[in-house]
Amino acid sequence: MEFLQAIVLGLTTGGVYALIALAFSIIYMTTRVINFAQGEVLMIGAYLYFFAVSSGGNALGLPWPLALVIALFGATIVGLVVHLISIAPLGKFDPNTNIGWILTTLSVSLIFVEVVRNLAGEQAKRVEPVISSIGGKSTVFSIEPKQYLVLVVGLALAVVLEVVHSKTQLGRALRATAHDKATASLMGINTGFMVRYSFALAGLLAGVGGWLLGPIIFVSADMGTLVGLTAFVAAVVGGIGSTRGALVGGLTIGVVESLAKQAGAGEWTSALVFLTLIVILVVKPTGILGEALIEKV
Amino acid sequence: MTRREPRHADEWDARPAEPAPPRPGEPVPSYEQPARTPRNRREAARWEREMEERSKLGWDTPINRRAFLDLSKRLGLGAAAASAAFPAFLAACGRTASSLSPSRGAKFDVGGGADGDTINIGAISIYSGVGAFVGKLLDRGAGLATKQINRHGLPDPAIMSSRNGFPDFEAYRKQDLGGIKIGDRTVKLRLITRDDNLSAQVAVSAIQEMITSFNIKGLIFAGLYDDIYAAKRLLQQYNLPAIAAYGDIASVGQLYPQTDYRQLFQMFPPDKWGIEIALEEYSIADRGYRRFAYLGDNTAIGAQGKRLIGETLAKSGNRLLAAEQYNVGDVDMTAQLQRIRSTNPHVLMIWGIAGDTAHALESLKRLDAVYLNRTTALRGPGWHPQIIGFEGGAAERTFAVLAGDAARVGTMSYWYMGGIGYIPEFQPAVDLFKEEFGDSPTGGENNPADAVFLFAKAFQDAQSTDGDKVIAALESMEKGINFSSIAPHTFSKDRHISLEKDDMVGITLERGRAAPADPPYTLGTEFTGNDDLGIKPFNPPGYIGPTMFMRFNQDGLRRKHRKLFVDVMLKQGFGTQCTKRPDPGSDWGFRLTNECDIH
Repeated sequence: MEFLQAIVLGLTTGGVYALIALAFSIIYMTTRVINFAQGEVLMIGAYLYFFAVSSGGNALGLPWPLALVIALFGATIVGLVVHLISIAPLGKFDPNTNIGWILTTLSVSLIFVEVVRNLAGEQAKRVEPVISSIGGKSTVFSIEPKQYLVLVVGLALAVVLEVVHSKTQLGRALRATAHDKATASLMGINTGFMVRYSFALAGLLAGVGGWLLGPIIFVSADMGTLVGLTAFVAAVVGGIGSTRGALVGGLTIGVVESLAKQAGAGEWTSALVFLTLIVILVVKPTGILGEALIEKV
Repeated sequence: MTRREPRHADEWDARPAEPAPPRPGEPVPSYEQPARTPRNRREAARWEREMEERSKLGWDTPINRRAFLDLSKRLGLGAAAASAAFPAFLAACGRTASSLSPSRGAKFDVGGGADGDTINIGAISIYSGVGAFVGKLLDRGAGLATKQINRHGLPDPAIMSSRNGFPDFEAYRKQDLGGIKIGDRTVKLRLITRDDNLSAQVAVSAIQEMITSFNIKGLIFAGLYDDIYAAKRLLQQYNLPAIAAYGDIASVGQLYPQTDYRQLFQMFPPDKWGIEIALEEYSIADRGYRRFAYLGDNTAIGAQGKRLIGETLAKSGNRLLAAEQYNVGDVDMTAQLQRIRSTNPHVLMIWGIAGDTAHALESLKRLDAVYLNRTTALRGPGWHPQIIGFEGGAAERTFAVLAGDAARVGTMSYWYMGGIGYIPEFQPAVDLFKEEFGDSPTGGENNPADAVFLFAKAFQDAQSTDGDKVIAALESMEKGINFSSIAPHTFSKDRHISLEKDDMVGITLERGRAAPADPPYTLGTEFTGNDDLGIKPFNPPGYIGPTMFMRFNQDGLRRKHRKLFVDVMLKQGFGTQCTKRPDPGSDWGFRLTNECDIH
């Protein structure tokens, strides 16, 4: 029973990682860069929701659906801002040889943390989960509805993104840009737009992540740092650039963490997560569902 | 030490039966509800605003040593994640020692004569990154104290107790001494501050620079704990007296006379005292608990807490039945708690910062194991342990806010009397701060401020800045001095902590009002106000957070703080949940007893 509980709990935690891993993958697909500020975009999304929905102080006290719209819109804009100030100024570059993007995205992440800390203060904030306000309070396997909600939304978004990217013109354009930007451009695809679209979409996903994660881990300036790092590992484990891989990677890492705690090795969770990463990379360097990039020369 | 003997826990069976605890799923007891829920969103917003304002005035403030501990732990996470790739990047965010403007002070003679007109006091703190708020506390607290001393001098001893036993700020501000008196000269203080850049090595370099370039005669530590350990040899080499404003070096055996670093002094009570009183006096003697478990984080502070708890329990023949660990920032602790539950402890000691403690209690709630009352903690049905938490966790309002209804009335912690901050008698100190900075103190400014006053008094008492003489003056400061804490800081030759175990005070969680007692006597002026004394309610009706628990260490408080504890706190009715019984054997005529089943 407790083992099953640990599995379910791991899946719910993994849902968050999967969401952010999805965001990492989408940006990686179009730009071949890792947005190290992704966790901080999530953090800003969580703060936007908190200030929109809470009462007291400078908060707006709006109904949660409106607050969610504000948070998602804000996170989307922040996603675009990340692109605008950390990637766009670098111009055309080969991410494999020019690693300036590592510095710029990391810089933006630190700037976001400092700005939010100075504006919102040191204290973590509590934000009530939406699901409890619409009646969901009982626990199953000692797991609360707000945790299940993460898994459900994570799965739903992965499915939606998979469908959008495989069945729609927008998705095909994105994949074409990911596959060969120059050729996609020659085929009439606005690759610059597709890159901006991927950052905006990643911001939106981070906003959803912040909305879901805030009630679980509390809203604080450093909430995105560790989640972002773990989600990056999840993206690599699952196969970066793959929607399904992000989902599988996120859930895998969540379950590994949960089982480690269940086995009384809670203090080893980080080590086990990275060990999992190493094992996966050794056995299958492209990640669980990643595909090797074959280029004609 | 006289041991108080309230009704012993064994006598509990003779009491009237307590109401049965609720079954899982039933509504929580009424004392979990605020006295009144806000009528509308606007009222909720007003209450929240008021709580924040009140919180800034007093002991449950987030920014003090407890937040400092939080910071230390978060540094381990946040910095590690970022600096793994680019360590220089973090350092570049900081203000380096060389970039600071040099002071024009340091004319005072090294050898101990009073040749100049300025004494430099050094201070090392954090001005960079996540910990920059600590530097701000130092600048404001120590800066204000320096300014006051340079304008008004040290308060006349009569002033220190002339207002109902408390300092008369108005009289002090009428003084016009213009500095401290050494011989026939008036000497001013100058504060030299440096950033430790979140590095003990940088701190040592900065201290060395302050010694050689600015000839500092005292040092205030308000930075990383590691700064103190790294710099102590330097202090010994230069025989430079130093006061740790936030650190607890006594609990790890690093304070004189435990070591030979006689230059070091500490302003905070060791965690060891809090643990001893919480376990020996409260849990075992008062409540009758015999089964204990520990859940703590994976930091050095968590490990130290576990060690101290184990040692304290061993003295009474008890032991930890279970000890579990989590990583700072972990959200779910269900697995650890399930293992702890199998040992059925009466008390769960949670050693973590506010956010982690809140997560632990949320996990406890998911297991239907939240604390209800003493009877259920001891005898069931089910597992509902009383929670005793680390001062940096369960004593925080932040913790109660974050944990929501998982944080239950009766969750216990400890702090010290001088740190509880707001009482009406100290309003002038708050007003002075507002006048200077335009807003209320956030909390935590008091220790750097009092450290400056301690040094000023030591220089004046010693009539010198010679290290030996200043250290001797600090060690002789038995009457002490306080500018912004509500109780004086004192030292002695064999006590380099400015407080004593008798200073410890209990902290307990309340929701909206002091929980009703049986027999029906409650304190709780902070919730209800006191019309006879003209005291308005201090806590807004929706207040959820820690408040003073006055039965805790009552004999110690009476010995050390008779005026404050008996004449102010109890007679004005501050604090919570105490049954007041006549006690002819007591020279104060009554004592607070343990009938309450919640606290």
